[in-house]
Amino acid sequence: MNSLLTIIANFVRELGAILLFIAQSLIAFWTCKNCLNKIIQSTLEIGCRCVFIVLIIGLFTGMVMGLQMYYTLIKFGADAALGTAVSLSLIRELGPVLTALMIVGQSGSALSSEIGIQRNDEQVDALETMGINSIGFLSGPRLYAGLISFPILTAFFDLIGLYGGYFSGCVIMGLDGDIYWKKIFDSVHFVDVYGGFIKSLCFGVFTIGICTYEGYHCHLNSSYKGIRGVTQAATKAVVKSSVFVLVFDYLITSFLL
Amino acid sequence: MNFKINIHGLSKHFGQNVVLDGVDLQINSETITAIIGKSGTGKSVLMKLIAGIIKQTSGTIECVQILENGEIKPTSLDEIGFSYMFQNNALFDSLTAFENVALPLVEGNHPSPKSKVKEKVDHLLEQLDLTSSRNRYPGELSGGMNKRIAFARALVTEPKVVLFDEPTTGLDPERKFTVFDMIKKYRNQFGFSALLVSHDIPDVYEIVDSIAWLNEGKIQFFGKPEKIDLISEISIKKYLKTGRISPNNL
Repeated sequence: MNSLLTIIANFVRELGAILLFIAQSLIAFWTCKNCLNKIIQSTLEIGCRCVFIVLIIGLFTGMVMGLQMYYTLIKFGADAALGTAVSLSLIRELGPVLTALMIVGQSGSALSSEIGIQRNDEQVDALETMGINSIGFLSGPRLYAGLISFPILTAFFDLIGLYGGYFSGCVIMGLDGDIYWKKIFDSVHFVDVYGGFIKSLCFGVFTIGICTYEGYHCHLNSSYKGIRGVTQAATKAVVKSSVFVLVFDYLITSFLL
Repeated sequence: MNFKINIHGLSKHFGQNVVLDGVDLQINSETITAIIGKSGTGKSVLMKLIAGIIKQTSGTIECVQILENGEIKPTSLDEIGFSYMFQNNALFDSLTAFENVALPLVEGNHPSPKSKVKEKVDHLLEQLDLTSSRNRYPGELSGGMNKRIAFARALVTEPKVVLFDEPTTGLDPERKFTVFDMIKKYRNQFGFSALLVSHDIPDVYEIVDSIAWLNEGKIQFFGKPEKIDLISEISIKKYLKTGRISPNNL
């Protein structure tokens, strides 16, 4: 019982620390100079690093969904609803979730390692001695970049996923393309797009926040120091962010539905 | 600006490990003090405590400004203006040599117009023989060059106190004396105080006003360099002897 309480207490403490770190990053960033340049640079960094992988995953997710849904729906004679099924699944759920997981895998681990190395190399201390707020300087632009790039990459994922569904459902399986697109336009409403957008914003700020938090505090890990501490921080960042995405996807969905 | 930094009873424990155990030290304006001692005796920890990067377990670090009328006014190291040259240089890999040196002027507490930043940084790079490496990244440069970039970054804001953590480690003898000369020259030019961790004995004696020998968590000697040789304590003699390897004591 005691150990369970300890685990819960540690979880709450860690969650609080991450939330405070995120808030501090978002606020302290504005004490830095050339804020807009930093946001643009970080957005390009995250966006460019991930756009290719997001497009590939989006295309194949859409294609798999097109095939699976087609074979399921045709059993009930409802193959015309393929566009509805593919678009709603992608825009509401799979788009934001898979995009977030891809960005965490691609950029989140790199972010965490980069800040971890800067911590080990005393660069974080150097910033503080120069009178630069290190949290605002290192984490702030990445968080704002997450807020911008996650929804954009999610939109790319959704769009190419719909084309993937079209390719497998219509080009390969022979469903009428006009019906596919008409069903999409009829069934996707603003609230569906809005829901996906809210999710991608939440995932953007929290997953990038978790990754920068882990890198920034890698020196506090008492079991692993130096490079091992950095790799440990990157692993923890990816695992925690991925769990966060899946748990919060459920919570946000239950609020939105 | 006249000031004093008074360190009294400073201790730092990392768990059960006592690194500093009641350090007393006074740093006056426009003086250069070298901290010497064996590796692992807490010299860098002392520097980080003074810079406020880590917090002490006990003891005090007080900064006071001595006004022209002799009045003493409490102040802080930030208000006096300080910079820190790290042992591992702490340069940013994603920034060029020029950008690294300009960083405190562009992002820190010393905002300057772009043209002034360029002029100042280029002048420093030229003095340190780094003009040809201006647009290169730290990863493309040698250890000695990176050391000089870190040195330039520490001086670019014209601070009143500079903390140098082994500024000459990894430099060839010629560059080492260039760095020592620059510390001396800039002290005369800008009137800063320097606290310097060094293993370059006796070369460092040439530029310092006083020496502090840190051993077993305490300052066991503090005074003029010429007086350190007169100390009869065995541990300090042994340390100084290993610092000056000559054909006679090999």
